[in-house]
Amino acid sequence: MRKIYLLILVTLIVLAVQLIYYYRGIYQPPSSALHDLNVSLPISKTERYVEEITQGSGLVLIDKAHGNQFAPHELNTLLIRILSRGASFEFLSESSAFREKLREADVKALVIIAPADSYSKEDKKAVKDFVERGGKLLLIADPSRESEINSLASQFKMLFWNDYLYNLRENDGNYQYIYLTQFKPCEVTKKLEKIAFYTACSIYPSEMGIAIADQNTFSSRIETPSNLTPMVFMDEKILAIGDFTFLIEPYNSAWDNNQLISNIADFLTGVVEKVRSPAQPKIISWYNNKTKDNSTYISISSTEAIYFNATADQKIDIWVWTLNDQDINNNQDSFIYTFNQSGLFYINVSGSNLNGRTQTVSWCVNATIK
Amino acid sequence: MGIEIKNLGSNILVIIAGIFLGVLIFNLFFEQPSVGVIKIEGSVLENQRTQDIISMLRYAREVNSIKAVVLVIDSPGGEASRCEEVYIEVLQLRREKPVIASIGATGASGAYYIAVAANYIYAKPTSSVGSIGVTAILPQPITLPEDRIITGPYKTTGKDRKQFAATVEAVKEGFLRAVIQQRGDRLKLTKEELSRAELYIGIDAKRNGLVDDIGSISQAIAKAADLAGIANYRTIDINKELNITSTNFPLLVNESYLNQQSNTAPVTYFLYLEPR
Repeated sequence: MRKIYLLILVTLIVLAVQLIYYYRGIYQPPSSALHDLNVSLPISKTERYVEEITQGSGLVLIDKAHGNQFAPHELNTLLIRILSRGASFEFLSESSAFREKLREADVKALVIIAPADSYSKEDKKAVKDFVERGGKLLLIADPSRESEINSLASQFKMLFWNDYLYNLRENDGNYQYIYLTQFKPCEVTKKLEKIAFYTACSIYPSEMGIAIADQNTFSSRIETPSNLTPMVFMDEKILAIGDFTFLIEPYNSAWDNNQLISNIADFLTGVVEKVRSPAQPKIISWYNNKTKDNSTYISISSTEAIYFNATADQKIDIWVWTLNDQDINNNQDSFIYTFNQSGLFYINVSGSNLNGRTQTVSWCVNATIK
Repeated sequence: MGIEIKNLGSNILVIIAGIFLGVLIFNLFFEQPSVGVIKIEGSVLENQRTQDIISMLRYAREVNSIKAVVLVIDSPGGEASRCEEVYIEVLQLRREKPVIASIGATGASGAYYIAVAANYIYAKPTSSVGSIGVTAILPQPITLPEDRIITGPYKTTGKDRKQFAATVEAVKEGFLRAVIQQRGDRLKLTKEELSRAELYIGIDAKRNGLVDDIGSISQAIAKAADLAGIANYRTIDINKELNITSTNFPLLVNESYLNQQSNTAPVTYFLYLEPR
């Protein structure tokens, strides 16, 4: 019996020694649940578009003589709008006829899309003369289509960047599909509230931009913060656009893209609709919570926090508040300041947007803190 | 005297029998523990490649003596669904045994997707880590020959181009969620920063929480053993055990690969493409 106990004891000791030698603990697995798979598809708004047809005229020439990187059917939406305005179009496929055709009297506009070949000196001069005679010029490039468009655009002091614009926060289903909501009033931007461009490049000079990218839209190449624009309108004669895709089905039906295409057709066929420039923004009311009205002189005798606010008649992009001429970097329509020492304090506010700048509203606070 | 010697002799025999029995029982029920090493090298684009990786992961799960697994990853990723398949298989393995990822030169895109399923990720100081995003080719419109008939407009292409772009965005969202969930509080990047699909070197990846530490494969094996609670373990090269080599699969893939693929039907990739 003792021998059996000894056998069990030795077996257990050997087992325990091996276990201690090889095993030091037990694995505690973390949660291995799959991530939430309920991912919804981003929704792109498709607008049903009913066109208001306006009467245009003339011939629109479309360059196909410089290795232009597009198929004619991709342009169908724009071509239909040109025809519906009573104008006609013609593809120019012979480079020898390019200059000659531009001199014809009924030619109203020239459309140049992503040319793979550079323009000769003679071609450039012919286009320049055409524009100087009052002809309209539409230049379109697209980052996904290689082009030598700058060989022509540069003579009008324009440049298409070899970048693409992107917005990671708000987009039409991909970070390269950007929204544009800030427009400078002109015939090309009439009735536009929101358009979507599908991989667009930025265009110089941005000061002539008529569709300005918002602060969350960045360039793949330009790292210096600046106003980026993929649409430039120069002298009401030259329209430059950094995207071609918005013209193609089904991208034309997103947001106000169809309206933009109609506006482009109006521009090319000479439909002139005067667009009234909106007046400058104006501050229409202001308030402080000390006097609880629009008084601009406030007197206090003890430490006090005072709330100021201003309301404008238009949406303001930038509010500027100053305290004794020091910008307090508060881009809001209100401002709170605690007055804890005696003296005269001047608080100014003004706002600005694409239409201009408001008047300045000033408060004077006379603090006599005991 | 003679009886005492006889007793001593029989006791020694019992002790020897006990040692033998102890070793036998240990080997029968416990075995010497081991850490399995699985190499995932090259792109995960082919079906055979995916099946090889899956079979290695299953082997690691089923063999009792393998108590922990180290994934040695050197890959730019691959086709989205294949990477997801491997990711789910690693998660399943992690429920039973600790999994440590050790990123070599590249743990990008789908390869990083696989790595996030591990309990712990090591990288080298200059490993390329990240590229969290999707690459896809939009379906091409087709011209139908007269002798072919299809029953719906998307039968050949799957979706229209604009809808497919939205689908790709949803696939990206799934990838981001996997990274955010698996890395948890360790992740120092925002969702927006992750969605930039940036490729980080190892030391930056550690700083922003994409990996846990900088270390060698040996350190990864030691960490795996530590999490499994084992010591004095063996290391098993599972690729060798199953005779699976990965030399046929390119470490980096360039755009010409994608262009060679049939692109009427849409395909999504978690793939870092070699810059041209």
